[in-house]
Amino acid sequence: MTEILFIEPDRVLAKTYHDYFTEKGFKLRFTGKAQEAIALADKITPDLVILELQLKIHNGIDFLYEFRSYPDWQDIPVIILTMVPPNEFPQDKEFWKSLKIHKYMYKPKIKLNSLFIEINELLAQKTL
Amino acid sequence: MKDIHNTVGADQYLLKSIAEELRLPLVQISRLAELSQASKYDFASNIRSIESSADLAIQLLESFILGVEFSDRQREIELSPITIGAVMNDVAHQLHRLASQNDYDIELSIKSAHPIMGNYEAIKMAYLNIAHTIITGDNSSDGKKRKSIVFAVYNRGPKNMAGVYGNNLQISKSSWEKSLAIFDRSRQKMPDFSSINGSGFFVATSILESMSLSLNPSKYRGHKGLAAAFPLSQQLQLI
Repeated sequence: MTEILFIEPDRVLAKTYHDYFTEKGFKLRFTGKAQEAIALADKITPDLVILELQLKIHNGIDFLYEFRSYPDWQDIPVIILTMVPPNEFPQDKEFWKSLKIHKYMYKPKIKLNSLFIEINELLAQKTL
Repeated sequence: MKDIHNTVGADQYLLKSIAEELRLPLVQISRLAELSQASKYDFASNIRSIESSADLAIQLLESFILGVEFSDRQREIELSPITIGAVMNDVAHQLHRLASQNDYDIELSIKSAHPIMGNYEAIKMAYLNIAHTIITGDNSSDGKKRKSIVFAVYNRGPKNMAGVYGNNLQISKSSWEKSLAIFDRSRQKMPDFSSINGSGFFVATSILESMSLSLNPSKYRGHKGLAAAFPLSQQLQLI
């Protein structure tokens, strides 16, 4: 079963994603904090990470730098699903490459179904 | 303490801040509606969540409108004898459902019943916004610690202090001043919050400032929060 580490600080959205993707057959692990996300990743080694950038204390970029510093986690894809709008998200390709960001998605415009399609496509590429 | 209307120059920054803040409840409503159509899972709970998200958005907008109308003198601030304890009691009761949905315990600590001259509805709206912001500002469910919110009213010299405090809130004098200073520039104005930007605090500040009251960081029984000092009415105390 595909296991997703979902870093989402809002409880209502976390429950919504949980209910939707659990019914689709995924196993989800949630946290709203960057440090806890590192600990969870260590425990479960997820197939995919979905990350909100606006977190308390350490933000999502802090998390990504730490996450990518571990050799075992280099190939785990990361989707950024965030409230930070596109014009405020770095467009620099080197930045994306250095942190191996698979995709940036602006949360207000991404329906559950679009996220589901994106995840399936990503996982299909991974297994090829 | 800075006047929020002078701080931001105009209400447009407050409006932008509110627009950014309203994205969250609207995204919640949209995703919950999609979930409800896609799944039969927990339909009643989804509807309750939609209702809560919509209510929070309405509350924030109504409060902003009230603050603007007061500051522009479009609406008269009618004063009458009230007790702040009664206002806080009302706010605490109104928040009961939201608090329990977010694992917050509510505590009322009313240690003063002195009457003051004030506008009951405006003060209630200001404190509702403060409490909403504290509860929704940290609504993550992954904390092990039980969260609590305290509504306190107590005397300090010739004034009635009324504050809302949270055991998860880390607000201090310097962090509050920084938040006001970066109000028009920063997305994450309050370092304590992730999903929201704390607009409810600024809207409450705006309402209280129109009544010549200021909201300041304060501490109560080890909990941090925001409080305002209400001057006691000498005449009312004689009644």
